[in-house]
Amino acid sequence: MTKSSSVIRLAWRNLGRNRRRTALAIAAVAFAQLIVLFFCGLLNGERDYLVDSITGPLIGHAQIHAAKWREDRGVDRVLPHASALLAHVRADPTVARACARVYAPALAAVREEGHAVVLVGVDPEVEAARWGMLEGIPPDALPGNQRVVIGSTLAESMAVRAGDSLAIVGQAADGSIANDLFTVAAVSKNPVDLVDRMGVLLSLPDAQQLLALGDAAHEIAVRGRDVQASTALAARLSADPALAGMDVAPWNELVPTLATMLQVVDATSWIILAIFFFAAGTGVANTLLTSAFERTREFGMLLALGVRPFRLVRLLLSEATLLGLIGVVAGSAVGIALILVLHRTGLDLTALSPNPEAASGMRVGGLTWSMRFYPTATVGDVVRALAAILFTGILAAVWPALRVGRLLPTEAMRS
Amino acid sequence: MRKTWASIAALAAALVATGSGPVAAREPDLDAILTRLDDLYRSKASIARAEIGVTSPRATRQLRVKTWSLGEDKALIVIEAPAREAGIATLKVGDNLWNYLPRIARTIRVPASMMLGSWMGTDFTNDDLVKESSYRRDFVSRIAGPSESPPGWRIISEVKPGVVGRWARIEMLVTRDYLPVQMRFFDRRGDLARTLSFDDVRDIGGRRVPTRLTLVPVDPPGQRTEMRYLEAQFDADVPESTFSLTELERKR
Repeated sequence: MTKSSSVIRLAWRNLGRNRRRTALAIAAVAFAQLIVLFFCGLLNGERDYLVDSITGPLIGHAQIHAAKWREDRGVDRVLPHASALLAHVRADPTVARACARVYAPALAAVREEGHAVVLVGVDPEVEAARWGMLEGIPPDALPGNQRVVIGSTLAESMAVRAGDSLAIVGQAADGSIANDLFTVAAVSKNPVDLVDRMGVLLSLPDAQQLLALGDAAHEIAVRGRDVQASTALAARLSADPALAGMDVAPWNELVPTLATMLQVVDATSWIILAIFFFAAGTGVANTLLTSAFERTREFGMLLALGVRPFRLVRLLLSEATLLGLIGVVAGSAVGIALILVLHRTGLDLTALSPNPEAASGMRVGGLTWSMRFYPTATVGDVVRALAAILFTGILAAVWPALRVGRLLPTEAMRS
Repeated sequence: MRKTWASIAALAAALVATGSGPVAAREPDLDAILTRLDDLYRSKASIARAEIGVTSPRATRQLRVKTWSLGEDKALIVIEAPAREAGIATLKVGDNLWNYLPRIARTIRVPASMMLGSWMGTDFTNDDLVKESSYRRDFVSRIAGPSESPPGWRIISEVKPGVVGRWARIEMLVTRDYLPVQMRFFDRRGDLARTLSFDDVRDIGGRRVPTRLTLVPVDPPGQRTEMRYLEAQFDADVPESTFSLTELERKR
C-alpha cells in the first residue's frame, strides 16, 4: 500500500465517522456548484436571447449591400440581378438562409393625412419562416399582389385597419415619382421596433415594381448556422469574386451600438456570476471551517499520539478534496439535469416583469429582454464552475489545516 | 466768412448733385433691394411655365411644370411632362401642402415631418414652397461691400431672433440693377447648406428678371436642380377657385 492511498483511505474513514457533518459539508459544496452552474445557465440563456433578438429578423448574421448604400440609403444604390446573387449566396454551404430586401422612404395615406413611412420589400415565402420579418403572420395575410402588412404602432398612429386602402407615394430608383394604391392585408406587431413604428411591408416583386427596380434589391440578409461565426461568414462572402465591390458586413459592424451594449451585458453578467460564486463559496468555506474548528480537540489528540503535523495537514486536505469532489459532482449532476429540463420547457418568470402581458419581451437600453429563460451551459462552463468551487473548498480547508499543524497538543486538547 | 459759406454751399451742392446721380456709383438702397428680391417673381397673381432639371452623379431628370400663384398664400404647381408624371400636382394654401396623384386619384397632405424633404425629387424642399419668408421682414441685412465681378454689392442677411426657419444667414450678391446673382444659405449651425445662382436675365411677362435658377446643395455632393422659366404672366387673372382640393382633383 502506498502512502497516498492510505491517506485517502484514512480520509475516507474520517469522513464516515461523523456522517452528519460530512453530509452537511458535501451538501454545502454541492449547493454552491448547483447555484453557480444554474445562474451561469440562466445568464447564458438570456444572452442567447439578446443575440437572437438583435441578429434576427432584421439584421441576420451578415448583410450584403451595394457600396455606399449604408451611408445614404439611396434608392438607386442597388444590388443588380438580385435573384442571381441570392441563388449564388444560398449555394454557399455555411449559409443557412438568405433573403433579398428593398427599402425606400415614402409618404402613405389612408385618408387625406400623409405619414412618413419606410417601405420594406421582402420575400413573403422566405420571411414567413422562423427568424423572418413576417414570422407569425397567417398565410392569407402575407403581403403580395398589391397587399401590404403594416406595423402595429404605425397602424395605430395612422388609424388604419386591415382592409383599408393605402396610397403610397415615393421616389423610384430612376428619380420619378412612384405612386400606387395598396390594400392593408394585416396589421402585425413586428419584432423589429423600427418596422413596427414606421414600416409598410410589401412583397419584393410589388416593391420592385413600384420603385422601378426590375430585378434589383438593396440588401441581402444572410443567416449562417452559428451566430458566433458571423465575422467569418462575412469575411468569406466578402472574398467571393461574385460579390466584388459590394459591402459585406457582419452584424456587429451593422449595429455597433448594440454590439457594444452586448459587451456591457457580458461584463455585467460576469460580475453577477462572481457575486453568486462569492456567496456560494462563502457558504462552502463557512461549513468547512466550522467543521475543522469543531475537530480541534480531535486533532490535538492525534498530535499527542505522535502523528506528525505534516501528515495531519495532508489528511485534512485529502478529506477536503474528497468532500469537494463528491459535492461538485453531485451539484453538477443536479445542475445539468435542471438546465436540460428547463432548456426544453423554459423557466417562465414573466409574472415578475413590469408588464406581464408583453409576450415578446421588454425593451431596455435598446435591447429586447425576455423573462422566459432557456438556460444553456457548455461543458466548459461546468468544468470552470467545478474547478472554482473545488478550489474554494480546498482553500477553505487549508487555513485550519495549517493552524492545526502549528498547534501544541495540550492547547488543542484543552479547547 | 463769406468764403466759408460759399465753400459750404458748394460742398452741399456737390453732395446733392451726386446724391441724385445714378444709383450705380452710390451707396445702394438696401430696403429697395430687399423689396425687389422679395417680389422678384411675385405679383398679385401669376401664371408661369418652367422647366426643372435635376442632375445627380447617377441620373438626370427633366420636368416641365405649370404654376399658378395668388399673393403669397396660394400656389398650384402641375407637372406637364414627362407623360408618366403628367397631372401630378402640388397645392399650397397657407402653411399647408397637398400632393395630388392622378393615377391613383388621391390627394395627400404632406405632414410637417416631411417639410424639409425634397419636393418631387428636386433639391427644392417642400418647405421652400410653403414658407412665406421675406428678406425684408425676417432678416436683418447689411451691405457688406461692393463686388467687382459682376459689378454690384454683397449683402449679408442674418435671421431675426424668434423667426422660425432653416436659415441663420444668407449671403447675397446683387447686381447694380438690384437683381440677384447668387445666394449662399447657411443653416443654424453656421454651415453652408446650399447655393442658389441666378442668370439668364431676360424680359419675361413684362419684367426683366433672371430666368434661370440653379440650386446646388452641399450635401449630397454632385447634385443640382435647375429651374428655367419658359414663360410668365404677372398680375394675371387667376380665380381663387383654382386653389382648392376639388379643383385639384379635376383633371387638368
